[in-house]
Amino acid sequence: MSKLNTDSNGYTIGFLVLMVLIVGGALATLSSMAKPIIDKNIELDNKTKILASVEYAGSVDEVLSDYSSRITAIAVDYKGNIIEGVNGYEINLKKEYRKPLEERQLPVFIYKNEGKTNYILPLIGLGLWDEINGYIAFNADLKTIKGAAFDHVGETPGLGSVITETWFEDRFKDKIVFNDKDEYLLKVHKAGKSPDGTSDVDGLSGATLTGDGVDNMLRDNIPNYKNYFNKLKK
Amino acid sequence: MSQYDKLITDPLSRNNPITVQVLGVCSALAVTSTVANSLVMTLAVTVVAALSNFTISSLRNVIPGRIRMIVQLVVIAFLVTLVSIFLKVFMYDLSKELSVFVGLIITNCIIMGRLEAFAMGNKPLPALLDGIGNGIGYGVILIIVGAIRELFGYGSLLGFKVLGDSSLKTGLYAFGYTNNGLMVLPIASIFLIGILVWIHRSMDTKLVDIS
Repeated sequence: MSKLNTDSNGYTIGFLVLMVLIVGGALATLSSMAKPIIDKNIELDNKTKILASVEYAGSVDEVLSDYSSRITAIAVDYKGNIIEGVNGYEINLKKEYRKPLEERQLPVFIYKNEGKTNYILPLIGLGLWDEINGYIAFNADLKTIKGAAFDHVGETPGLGSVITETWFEDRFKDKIVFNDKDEYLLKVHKAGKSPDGTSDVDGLSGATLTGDGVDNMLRDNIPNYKNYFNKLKK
Repeated sequence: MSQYDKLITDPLSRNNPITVQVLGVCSALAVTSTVANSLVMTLAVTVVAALSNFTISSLRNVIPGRIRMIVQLVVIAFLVTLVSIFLKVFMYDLSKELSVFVGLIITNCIIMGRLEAFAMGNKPLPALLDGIGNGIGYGVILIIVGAIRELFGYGSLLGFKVLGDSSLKTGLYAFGYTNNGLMVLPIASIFLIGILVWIHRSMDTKLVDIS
């Protein structure tokens, strides 16, 4: 049997083509098979986060059913008018953020449970290294915060990444965002430098820049809903 | 069988990929913040190392010499993508936490190093064992570093608050103990790995002249 000449050009190219076809085909098949499950995981993760902002305490299995029974996802424009026929959950916040404010669709998640209503706003911004995002829930007075849930993509482990921890999110509870003149008051301070005000949140030691990121994210997102809130109050 | 046993046991100590071969240090710095992260990374690297070693060793006589490294990389990348899909399907939270590090297994020099040094010249079964051995050898160091970092950085092990609760001031924290902020940073692992290399070499002086 003559030995295969594995060094010839033809063989090398043939080997490459075959390899790419096999590997590419296998990966494409697998990834399209896994996609529905992964999408479901992402959906569960998002909906858990939305509910976490109103201190939802249900188990993982109940998240999806409780989400659909308690939350209405709508979208508003910057003037505060509800955009008909749009599901707020389907909106890609990152894309909306690139548009001028006038053209943006702003999602609102209205949470209704046991006679109480909370308005949950999605947030998106930049931390120190990468995107940070989250949800902030308003009480029915539309001035004070019910709760917050943050997430991040690549903040420093153990430092900036702790914005996802409950003890940090709890610092936002009951803080006053808007005063009677409708001015935005909420501020995340440097760690330990926070005055004990009703709108001041203590930042994180070792993660001042991530804290600033959270502050900017709140400042960039929440005031866009001012008009919507004012219409609701009427 | 003794030569096969050696393939598994050698990388655990005498030929450890991190402390002796000094490969894969980069990822050992990044993913060792907690024991759980270390365990998952160990598992992922062991699976990729074993299967890529096996595949390349099976193909070693038909791989064109001029593009053998490309072929190796494609095999590694294929397996890493499989692991990544697996994590996203079955352990979504963990895959979020490990994010880029899973993808970076592709660049882990242990895997490529074992393919070049071992799989290209040995039969599939020994290559498979060599991959498993090196994966575990890498993991042993990862878990030691992860345990020290989690214990002193967060006061917990595998998520259990063994030193008490720092926000409620229970356990050790009641006496004024605080977590070490350095330990949560990747930089802590470089000290820890350095110390491990030192201990390892003073226990086995034959290693000292290896480099």
